[in-house]
Amino acid sequence: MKKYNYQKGRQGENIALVFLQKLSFELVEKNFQNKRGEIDLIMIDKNVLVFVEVKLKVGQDFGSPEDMISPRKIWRVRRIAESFLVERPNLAKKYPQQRIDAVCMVLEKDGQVSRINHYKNIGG
Amino acid sequence: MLAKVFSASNYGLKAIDIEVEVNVAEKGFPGFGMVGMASKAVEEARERVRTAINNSGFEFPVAKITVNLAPADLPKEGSRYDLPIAMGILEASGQVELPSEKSYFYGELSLDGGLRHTKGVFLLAVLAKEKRVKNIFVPRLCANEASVIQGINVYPVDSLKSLVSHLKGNRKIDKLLTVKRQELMGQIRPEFDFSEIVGQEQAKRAMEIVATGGHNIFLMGPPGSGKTMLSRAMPGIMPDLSEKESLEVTKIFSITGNIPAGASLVRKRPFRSPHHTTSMVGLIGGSSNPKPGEVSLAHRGVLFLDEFPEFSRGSLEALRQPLEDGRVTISRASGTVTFPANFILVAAANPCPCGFMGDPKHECKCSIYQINRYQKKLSGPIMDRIDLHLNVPAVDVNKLMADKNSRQREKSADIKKRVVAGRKIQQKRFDGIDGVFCNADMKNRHIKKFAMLSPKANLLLKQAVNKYALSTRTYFRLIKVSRTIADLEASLDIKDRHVAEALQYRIRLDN
Repeated sequence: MKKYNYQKGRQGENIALVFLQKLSFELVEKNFQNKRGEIDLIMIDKNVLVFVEVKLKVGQDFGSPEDMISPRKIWRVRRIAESFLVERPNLAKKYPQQRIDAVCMVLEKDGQVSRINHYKNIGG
Repeated sequence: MLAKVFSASNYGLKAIDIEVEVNVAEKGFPGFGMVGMASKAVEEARERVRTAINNSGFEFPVAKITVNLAPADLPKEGSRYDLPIAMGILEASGQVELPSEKSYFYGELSLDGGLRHTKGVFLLAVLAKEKRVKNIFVPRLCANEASVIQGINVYPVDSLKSLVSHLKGNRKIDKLLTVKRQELMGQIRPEFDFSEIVGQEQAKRAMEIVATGGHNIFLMGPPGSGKTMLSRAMPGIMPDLSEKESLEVTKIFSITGNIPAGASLVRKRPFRSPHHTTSMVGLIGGSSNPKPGEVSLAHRGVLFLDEFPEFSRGSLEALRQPLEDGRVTISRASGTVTFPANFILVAAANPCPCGFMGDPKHECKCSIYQINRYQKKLSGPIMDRIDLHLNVPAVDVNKLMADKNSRQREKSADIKKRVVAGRKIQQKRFDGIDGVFCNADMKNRHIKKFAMLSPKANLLLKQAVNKYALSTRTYFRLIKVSRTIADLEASLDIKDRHVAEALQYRIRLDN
């Protein structure tokens, strides 16, 4: 079950990546990890460094993906983003503007995307 | 989109206009946030509103929802903002259109979208009248409270769904007709009838005087002599509340949530008997957002304190202000609130810890020290504020068993007739004087005007005051009690025998 979730997550990240690239976002890094956790996608939108949290749900039976992003989760992404910036001082200098985005999607049972939403600047 | 809905909060006994602003923004990460000094119960409205909207067949918008309760610096409490918040969300998301003229929405939502009983509807109606707001939408269960106030349209709402279809014009909710101010609360049956009490004729007479004039009484006697029984029979002889009094009592009952579903005005006099472990705040009122205590819940009624000396010293001393002024003023960091607390104090106590001091048949086992400590609780200032002091001796069991003529004893209903007649005289006398309903309410300036003593009565009182070294307060209180005794006889002026009877309740001949 765990593994299945993991695969779904990866699948969702790929869908989100293609979706954002169509909006002319540029990829910087995928699945940046450290001991605090993981950021799904790190991208550049014009001159803003964007940390993207991707949420995927199959079917409507267990609530919407938006409900799964709590203030706590956003806070966690922010912390990891800060350590990312510490690790890449050059990037931090080049892109002084940063923000956190979310991509939420719902898939049909057969894997078709039934909706996908992009929310800018959820970090408040 | 932004929606504005009006509701009300209350501070003390006053309702305050609250503007509930709801913004539903399509842009931004979806969420439901609330600002404006909301307490926990208000914060939790989020879950109730969300579920109620979904379960009523409406759509809870996937959007960034911000709710602001203005004025933002005033703490908000309670569950009454559920309905205005839900209506705000429905309007801001285009699912309903609110009336263009200012209306109040008020009520707690249940998860199925129904409206629950909510405190303080009566105060909302008073506010609506004051602010000239025509329409108020309140839960049906407590709509009758509001219907007493004339000149406003009260819409009793069953559920979110029915309110929306009313506003859309599909199925109108009939506004409540202003009810005649009739008793809608169930009759409170007193636990005992006076005819059940054997003997204690003097005590019964004293209770009658107390009920007529609104005086305070202190009953002292050994355990089992009938102090509690006498007090509990008291509601049976109390006259019903007059219209003015009833409005005052209803206000207090409304904000404390003491009005049962479907009831409107309180017509029965309250009878409160808090246990002696009651905290001072419970008795007097308080908390950071001041709430009325037992003394205010007993306003215009009876506050019965059984085992008087067992109450904490602080609680007893705190009774001084309400006993003297008929109100309590509570000051907290958030402000000062005055609650009315004009009650008849009925206090009962044993003469000593073991209870048998002065009893002819039992031996008192208390030491002098114990007795002193026990009686010290009953401080001078408190006892001075009590008009009638009465010894309730134990009734001889043989007499009790031999007693067969229970039918010949007077029923509560008959005593009540005399009490009501006595009150009528007082009502006529104090007509047009604000806040004075019975003899005990008289201020000193009223005494000069309304309680003239006959020369003989005056002489008697003068002698008693000198002989027993009575305080000025006691002097005035004696006149008030004499006035009541005279009223019971429908006597215009106070004669010496009235004063003599009043004196007999006042002078405690300690053994």
